[in-house]
Amino acid sequence: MKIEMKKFGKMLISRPAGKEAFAAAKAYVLSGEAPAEIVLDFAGVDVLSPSWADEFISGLKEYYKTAKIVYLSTDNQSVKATLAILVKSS
Amino acid sequence: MKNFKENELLSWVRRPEVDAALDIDFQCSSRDSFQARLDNLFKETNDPLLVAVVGEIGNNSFDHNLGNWRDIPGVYFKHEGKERLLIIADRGQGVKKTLSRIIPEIKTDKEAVEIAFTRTISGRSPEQRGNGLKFVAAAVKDNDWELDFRSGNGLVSIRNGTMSFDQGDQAVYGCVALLKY
Repeated sequence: MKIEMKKFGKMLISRPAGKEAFAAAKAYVLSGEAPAEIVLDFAGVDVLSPSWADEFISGLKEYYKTAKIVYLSTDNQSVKATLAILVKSS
Repeated sequence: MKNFKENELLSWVRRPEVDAALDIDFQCSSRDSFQARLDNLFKETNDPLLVAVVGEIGNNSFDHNLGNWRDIPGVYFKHEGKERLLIIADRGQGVKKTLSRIIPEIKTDKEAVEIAFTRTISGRSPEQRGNGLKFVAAAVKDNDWELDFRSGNGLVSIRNGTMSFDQGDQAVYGCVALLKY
């Protein structure tokens, strides 16, 4: 399963926005059965912050406990730095 | 820092009580208005990492003080483009009071800001939080920006890729961040 993160917006910044995005994903994007792998594609995102990503990815991990999450980074510095700190702390 | 009146800002955040915003034109009383200012900052700078850093600092204020502001709700946010300076300030509870709820043994503001900038821990435990200010510190160091962050008597300074902590003489009621990029 691949999720295009830009479909949640180009400025992925605050914690409440990340939580809201995950709620929307749960309702309209995710299927009931856990896939083996979920690819999060950040192409086209202008700004990503750790707070937004933490809310979204924590929700995803809780929802699909067994799925492997793969991050498709970009040259965007905020995406790179956010993914680096999330991977480091997980 | 020619145009920016740092003394005026510090005077505002050092008063135990105020009854008005420092400048209503730059006060974001809701998260939505702060988000709108971040959209503008991105248009002005085209710097995604800078916007993410400012977003983390400002949204921290809303995350930890919503419904519990000292007096003036929200975040004072100003971009001095010519001086490449960003100012973010709130009149919230401050870092020590927020973190003391989960680490009651914190004794000083200096200790509180040091924990906030170096350990993955948050005042909203048990939720998985607490990466924001580590992210801020890493971005400032890696890009050779400069940051002064004050809360209570605690001061965090990042200069030339090095972070230091100090205890100041005059308390700040809430948090103030000056970011030079």
